[in-house]
Amino acid sequence: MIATERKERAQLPLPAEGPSAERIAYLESLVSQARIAAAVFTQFTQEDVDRIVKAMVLAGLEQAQHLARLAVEETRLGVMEDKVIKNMVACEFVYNHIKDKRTVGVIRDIPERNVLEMAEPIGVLFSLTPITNPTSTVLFKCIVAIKTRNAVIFSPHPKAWRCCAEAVRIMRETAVKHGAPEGVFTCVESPTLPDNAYLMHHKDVGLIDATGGPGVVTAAYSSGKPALGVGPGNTPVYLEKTGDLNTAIVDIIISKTFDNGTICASEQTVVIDDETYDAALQKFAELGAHLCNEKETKLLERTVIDPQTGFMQPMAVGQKATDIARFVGLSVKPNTKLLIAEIHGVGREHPLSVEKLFPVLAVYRAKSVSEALKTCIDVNHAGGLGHTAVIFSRNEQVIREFGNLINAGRIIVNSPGAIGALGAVYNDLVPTFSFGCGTGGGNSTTDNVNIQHYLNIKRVARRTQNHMWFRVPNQIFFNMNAVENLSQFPSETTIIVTNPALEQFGHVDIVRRHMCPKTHVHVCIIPDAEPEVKVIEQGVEALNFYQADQIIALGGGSMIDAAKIMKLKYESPEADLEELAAPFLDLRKRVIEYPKGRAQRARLVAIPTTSGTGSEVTPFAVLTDKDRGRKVTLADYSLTPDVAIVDPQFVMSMPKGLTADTGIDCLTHALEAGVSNYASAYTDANAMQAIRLVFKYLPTAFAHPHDEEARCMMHNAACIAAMAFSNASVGVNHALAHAFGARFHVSHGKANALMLPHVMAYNAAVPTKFMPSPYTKGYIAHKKYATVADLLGLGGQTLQEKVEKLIAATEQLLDQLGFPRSIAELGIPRDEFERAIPEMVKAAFDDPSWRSNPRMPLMQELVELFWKAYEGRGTARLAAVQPQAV
Amino acid sequence: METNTLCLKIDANNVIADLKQAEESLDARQELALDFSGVTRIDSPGLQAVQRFGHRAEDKKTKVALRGVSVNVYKTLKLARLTSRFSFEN
Ligand SMILES: NC(=O)c1ccc[n+]([C@@H]2O[C@H](COP(=O)([O-])OP(=O)(O)OC[C@H]3O[C@@H](n4cnc5c(N)ncnc54)[C@H](O)[C@@H]3O)[C@@H](O)[C@H]2O)c1
Ligand SMILES: [Fe+2]
Repeated sequence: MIATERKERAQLPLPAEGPSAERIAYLESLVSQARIAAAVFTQFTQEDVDRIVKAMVLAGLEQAQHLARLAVEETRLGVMEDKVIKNMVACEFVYNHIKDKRTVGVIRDIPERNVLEMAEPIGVLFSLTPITNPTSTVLFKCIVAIKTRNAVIFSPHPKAWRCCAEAVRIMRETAVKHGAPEGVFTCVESPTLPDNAYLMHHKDVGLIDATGGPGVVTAAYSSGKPALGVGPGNTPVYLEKTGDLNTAIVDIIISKTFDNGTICASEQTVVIDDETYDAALQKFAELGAHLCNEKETKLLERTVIDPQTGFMQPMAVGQKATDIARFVGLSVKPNTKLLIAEIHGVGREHPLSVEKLFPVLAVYRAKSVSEALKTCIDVNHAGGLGHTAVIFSRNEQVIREFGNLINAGRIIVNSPGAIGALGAVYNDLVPTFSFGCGTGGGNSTTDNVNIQHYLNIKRVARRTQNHMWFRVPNQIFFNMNAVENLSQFPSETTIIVTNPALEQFGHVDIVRRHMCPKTHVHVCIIPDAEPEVKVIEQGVEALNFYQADQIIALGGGSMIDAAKIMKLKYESPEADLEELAAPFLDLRKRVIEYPKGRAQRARLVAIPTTSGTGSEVTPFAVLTDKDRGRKVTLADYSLTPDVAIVDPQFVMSMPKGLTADTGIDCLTHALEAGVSNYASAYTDANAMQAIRLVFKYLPTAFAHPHDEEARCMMHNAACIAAMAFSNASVGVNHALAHAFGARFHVSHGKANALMLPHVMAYNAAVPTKFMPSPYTKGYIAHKKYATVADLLGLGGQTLQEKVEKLIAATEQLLDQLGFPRSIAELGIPRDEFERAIPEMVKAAFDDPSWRSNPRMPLMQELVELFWKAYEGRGTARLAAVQPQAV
Repeated sequence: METNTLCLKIDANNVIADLKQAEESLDARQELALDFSGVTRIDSPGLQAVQRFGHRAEDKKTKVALRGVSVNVYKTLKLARLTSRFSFEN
C-alpha cells in the first residue's frame, strides 16, 4: 500500500473528534439501510443470489473501461489499459471461481464425517478500499458480498472517492434491478477519519474489511470488531541460476509495470545469482529497462524515497518510468518501461530496498545461494512479512527452501508476482483483490480473501454411529478333549508356560501328548503368583534362548496373561510395559501405540485351567507391580492369543474356592459387558448366554466338582463372557476389585464378588453423572439388568422389581458359593481400610476398566462403594432407586 | 381498562399499504393483531414499513401481535432488530 495512505490514515484509531450530530444521523441512515438489506437478504436462495451476481458481473465487464478511465482521471496513477484488465479480472475471473460455489444454506455435505456445512451471512460489512486498485476492489467486494448475502458500506480512499462511488452505484443499481434488497451497497460521501472510526465501532457492523495501508489495517483490528485487514508488502524475488531467464525477465517486467506497479504484490527487489546476474541485466536492458549507474541510482533514491520516513514518495506511486526519470533528471530512452537500480544491502541505508509501487526495481547480486536467501529474508522482513514472494528456479529443493524460509502468504513460482498473487491467471490461487498477510502483516489470514471470508460457516454435526467391532481369536476349540487339536499346529520349539501345581496335576503331560510330533518342548515353570515383571523377564529369556516358535500358556488367567506379555516382549523387546499401561480414555484414541507390524515369532496357544478370566480370548493382560502394590492392565488386540483351547478336563482339578472365585469373575465379566456403553448386539448375545450358563451351572460345578457337564458349561461360559468383555469391556466393578485386590491381596474373583451387588445397584440407579457415550441411546443399564432377570425367569413386574430380583439372585448365588458378605468379614480392620481408601480410590479411578461403565463414577461415589462393600450386602437391593425415572 | 383485539390480515403483495391502513386502527384501548401468515418473504420497503409501523404503535401505546409469521420472516425481523416491538402468536 502506498505512502499517501500511510500518512492520511495512519492516525485512524484515535480521531481527535467524533463526527457531528448531523453527520452521525447520516452515517446511522447508511447503517440502518444496510441492516435492513442484510436482514432481507437472509431470505434469498442460492438461485436468487447467483442470478444477481451474474447480472452484476456483466455490468462490471460492460463498465470496465468507463470505471478505469474515471479511476485514472481521479487518482492520476496507474495505466488505463491495465485498470480495464483489473476491473475485468475482478468480474470475470472472480465470477468463474465463485459461480458454481454454494454460499446459501447447505454449502458442503461431508457424509463420511456426518457433517453438513451451512452458510450464515455476516450481515453488514464496512469496507475500506485503496487508492491503488480503487474500482477493481469495489467491483470485487460487491460481487463477493452479493454471493454471500451481505450488505456493504464502502468508505473509499478520499482521493479515489468519485470513481469508487460510481462503481458502487453501478453495482447497486444492477443488483437491486435484479432483486437485491435496497440499501445493499452504500458509499460514505467524502469519508473522513472520524466517519471511519464511527462506523468501525458501530454495533451493527459485523465485519470490517479493510484493504489499505498499515493505518487502516491497524485501525480495523483495533476496533474490537472482527476484521479482515490486508496491508502492504515488499516482494522479494529470487532469480536463481537454474531459472529460465527469458521467462523470468519478461514476467518481472509484465508484473512490475502492470498498472505502473501499483499492485502491492508486485516485485520490489530481484536477488540474482552471480552466475546469471550480468546476463539477466542485459536481458532487462534489451527488453526496455533502463539500468541506472551509481550516480543515477543516488539521484533516484533521493527523489522517490522520503529520506525522513524511509517510505516511497506518494508522488511517484503509479507513475510511468519515463515520467519518474524525467522528474529525477535521468536521461532515458522514450519507451523505457522500468528503471533498475543496483542495491548492495537491505535497510534504511539502502533506500531502494523498500516497497516501491512504481516501475523502479532494485537488483542485488548474490555470490551464493545462502547469500541470496538471506537477502530475500531481509527484504521480506523490511515491510513485506506475510505478503508475497517470487522465485524463478528449476531446482525443486531451492524452491522448497525458499518457501520454508520466506514468510509470505503467496509464494509465486516461475510467474509474475502481482498477477500471480491475484490468482486464477498464472496459477490456481483463489482470485482476489485482498491479500491476507497473516500475523506477519498483522492480519488474521494469509488467504486470498474471497467468499469463504465473507461467511460464517456453521457445522451441523450429526451423531455418528462409530463403527464397532467384534474381535476374538480366529480359532477356539472347546468341549472335552479339545486339546487333541493341538497336534495340527506345527512347531519346532514350543515353550509351555505353566506353574508347579499344574505340572503336578499331570496337565503338562496331557498337553505334551497332543503336541505335533518332533516338536522340541521346554517347560517354563513360573511361580504360583499373578504375573510380575521379574517373572516375565525370565520367561522372555527362555523364549530367546530356545528361539521358540510356539508358546503354550497352560494355567489360569495369571499364566495366560504372563505368556501374553512374554510374547509381546519376545517379539518387541523395546516395548516399555510401564508406558504401554499408560492411562487412556478411549482405546482407539489413546496416545500410546503398541508395537505395530512386529514379526510374529511365536504362535500363542492358550489353554485355560480355570473357568473365569477368559484370558484365552481377551486382548488384556493384568500385570502385578509388587513394588507399588498395584495391578496394571495392558489392553491391545495384539495381545489376543492366536488359538484358544477350552478343554474342561483341565478344570476338573479346581478346588472349590477357585471354582467359586473364577466363576464369579466370569459372571462379573458378563454383567459388566452387558451394561457397558460399548455393548452391541454381538456382545449382548455372548454376555446373556454366559450369565444364563453361570446361574445354571456354577452351583453344580461348585457343589459337585466332578460333574463334567457343569464343568464344561462353566468353562464355555467363561470363554463366552470373555468374548463379550473383550469387545464391550468391563466396568466399575473391575476397577474397584483391581484396586482393592492389589492393596489387600484378595483374589480377583473374591474382590469382584465383594463389590458386585453394590455395583449393580449403583448402575441401575439414576446416575449422578451420565457417561458421555456415542454408542448408546438414553440410559439403559437398568433395562439391561431387567432383561437379564427375564432371561433367568426371576419374575417381577416393573423394571425396578426385576433389577431387585436380579441383585437378590446374585447375592443368593454368592451365599451359595460361600463368599464373605463383607470386606469386614475378611478380617480387615476398619481403620486400616479407611487409611487405604484414598489410595484405592485413586487407583480405581485410574483404572481403564470403568471407561465403558454406563454410569460415570465420581470419586466420592467410589469411596461410598468401597464402604458399602466393607459394610456388607443385604443393603444393595434397597439402594437401587427408582430406575424407571430415567 | 377494557381491551378487545382487532385482527387485520396482511397481504403478501401489499405489505406497505396494509400496514399503512393498520396504522389507522392503532388505539391504546385496543390490542391489534396482524395476520402475517400469507407473507413468506419480505423485502426492504416492506421491512421498513414494519419498522415505521412499530414506531407508530409505540407512540400510540398499542400492543401489537404478529400472527403466523413464517420462520424466515421472523429471522429477518430479528436481524432488523424489530422483534422486541411486537408479540408473536402462532
Ligand atoms: N486377561 C484377562 O482378560 C483377565 C480377565 C480377568 C482377570 N484377569 C486376571 O487373571 C488373574 C486371575 O486368574 P485366575 O482367576 O484364572 O487365577 P490364577 O491364574 O491366578 O490361578 C489361581 C490359582 O489357581 C491355580 N490353578 C489354576 N488352574 C488350576 C486347576 N485347574 N486346578 C487347580 N488349581 C489351579 C493356580 O496354580 C493358582 O495358584 C488375575 O491377575 C486377574 O487380574 C485377566
Ligand atoms: Fe475379571
